[in-house]
Amino acid sequence: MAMLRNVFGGCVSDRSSESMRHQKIKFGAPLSHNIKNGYLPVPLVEILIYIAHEGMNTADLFRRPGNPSDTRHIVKRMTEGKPVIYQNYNMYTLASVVKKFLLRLPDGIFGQNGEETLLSVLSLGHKMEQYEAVHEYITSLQQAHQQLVSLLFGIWFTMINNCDINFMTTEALSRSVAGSVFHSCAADPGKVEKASRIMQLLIENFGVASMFGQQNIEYFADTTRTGIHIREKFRYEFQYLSEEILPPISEEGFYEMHAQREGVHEPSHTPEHSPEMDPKYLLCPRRDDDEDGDSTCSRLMAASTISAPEVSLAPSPGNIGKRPKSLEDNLNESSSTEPPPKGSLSRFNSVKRKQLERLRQRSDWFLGPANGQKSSNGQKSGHSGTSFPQYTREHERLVAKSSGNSVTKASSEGAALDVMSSDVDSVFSEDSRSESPASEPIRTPPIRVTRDIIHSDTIVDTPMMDMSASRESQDLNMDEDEEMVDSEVCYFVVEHKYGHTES
Amino acid sequence: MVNASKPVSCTLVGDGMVGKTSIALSFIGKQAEENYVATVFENYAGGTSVAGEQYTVSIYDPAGKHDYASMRVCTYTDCEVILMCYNVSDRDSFDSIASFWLPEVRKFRGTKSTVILVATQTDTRNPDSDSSVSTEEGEKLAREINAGGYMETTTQNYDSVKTVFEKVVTCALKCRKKKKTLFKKISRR
Repeated sequence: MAMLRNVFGGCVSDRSSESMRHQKIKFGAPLSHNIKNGYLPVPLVEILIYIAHEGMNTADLFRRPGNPSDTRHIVKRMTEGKPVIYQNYNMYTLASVVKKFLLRLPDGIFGQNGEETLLSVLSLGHKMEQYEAVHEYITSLQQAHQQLVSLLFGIWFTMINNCDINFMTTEALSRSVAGSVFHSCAADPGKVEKASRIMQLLIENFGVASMFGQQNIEYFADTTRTGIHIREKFRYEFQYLSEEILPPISEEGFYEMHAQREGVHEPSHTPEHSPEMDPKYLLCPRRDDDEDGDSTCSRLMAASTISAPEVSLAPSPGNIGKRPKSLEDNLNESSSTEPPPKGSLSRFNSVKRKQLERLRQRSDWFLGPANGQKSSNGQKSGHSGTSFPQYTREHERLVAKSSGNSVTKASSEGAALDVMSSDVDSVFSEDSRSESPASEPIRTPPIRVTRDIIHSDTIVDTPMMDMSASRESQDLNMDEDEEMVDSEVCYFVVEHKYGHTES
Repeated sequence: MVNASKPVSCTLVGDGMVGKTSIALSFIGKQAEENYVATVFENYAGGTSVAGEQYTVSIYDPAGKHDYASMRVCTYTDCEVILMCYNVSDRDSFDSIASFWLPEVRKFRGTKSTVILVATQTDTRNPDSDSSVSTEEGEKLAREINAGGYMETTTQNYDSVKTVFEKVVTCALKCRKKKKTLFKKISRR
């Protein structure tokens, strides 16, 4: 493939690639014109690769405009199909060239309709729905178009994960580029704000396979030879209704009831239930490559909530061979040797302790003599899995199947799902490694963790668990909350590795 | 006499990261935020006195990104004085004045706009470095672009910021006077 050949840039010298490298890029022409051959123009890919390699530690990249006359000069040369020696220019100038390309695209990279579609994503309440909507949009694009989008967002994603070095936080970055990406929003400050919000969503969650698509992430990782390590953490909460409210019903009756109520907001039965956390959702893990996915899904009916996947990322920019070690590399290395950001652990522990304490209290209350009248449902609470054997079995099966590695399951039913979870989520997610049991098989090479990204929003809704196996390794863990009576909380950690990491 | 009814309006332009928002914040007496992110559009108002009279200066602070040109258009037509800023230790931002900002302002304001050239972050100036822009170069550029003045400023020194906005007021008043006399001339006929 032309793209791949280009990846190995400098060392390839056969003629066909030589002529491709002199392809002309039309600034100001519609994108379809530039990708009419079905692939991105090579010089465009090259400049993006160069930025991805060298620019990730440049402070304020994409914010400072660079040298205006150099920018014009590069644009001119690229338009004429002449080679540009990127080393002669500073990063800001090159980033400006990229921005200029985006800016000059009539209607922008997404086009008017695309911009509207993406902006409407913001109105979706749940992160999972947002991911899905974005995914749907992105997959509807031409392949080369998708590739361009993933190169750009991959670069920005890598940047924000090095923001301790380059000072570009997601907010700063998305504001700086929103104008060139969302043309329809550039004139009005309010709209810019909106555009920068969707940009933040897109940039921060670039690593979420269910959003950008595995293929696109892989494309970025392979093309720029960036190692990306993603840990997606899913939190599932299965809530069983409180025994006092539920009339005694049979198992079938229970499922029927849920089927009927699906989508209807029920008043929550737990005192501290967060208002936005509606427990009545169908747990329906979607699995792209799993033929059993559908059947599993249809049978997994239980009130559940799922949190946003927490993504901890470890893009390791520039493990690039054939290249003299640069200052950036050294910087990069020094940063990678630093311990990952901490500070959340103590808070995490204290919150967890508090939560456990509360769960214990509640479990005492539930099991206490006051609750003499036990419904068929309530009777079984406290015995993990017995009340919904079918469901639990499925659940276990699901976990076991998708992991391929070790699974630790020790969920017990517990106190009703509780608001805590919504704010606790961020805490849990901050250091997901602490959640992993020691038995976790460690097959992963040393990771260059530069930063953990935290999704603090809790999502309640429809679940989407993309567990398509990554190319190198995938671990899945289920962690547990102990002594729960009324609901079950499980965590899934899905790891993805893209691109080349040190091996 | 308080002349608050007729505020003097000015717009800050210049490349990203030169410190436009910092100047504005410093003028109205606020500390610039440590990790301030890119501005999209802000509006500030501060007071200053010139020749014994109190004036309110309203400051438009649009985004410095070249991308947001369409947003800046409205501020150009609304303001009386344009402050063109560059960072003395960033030659690219200095070059941008002549090659980007001046043409943009001229395009929307015509050639008769009142422009003040402002060199920012003078505390970071390093005379030995090539990328540093000297005072002479700044003054030369100011003459070339026919600016109403050349000012050097740093947020480290509040007086230097204040002088900039005093200059804004004097320029605006001069401009108003000119218009008035022109108007009188026409009406006399």
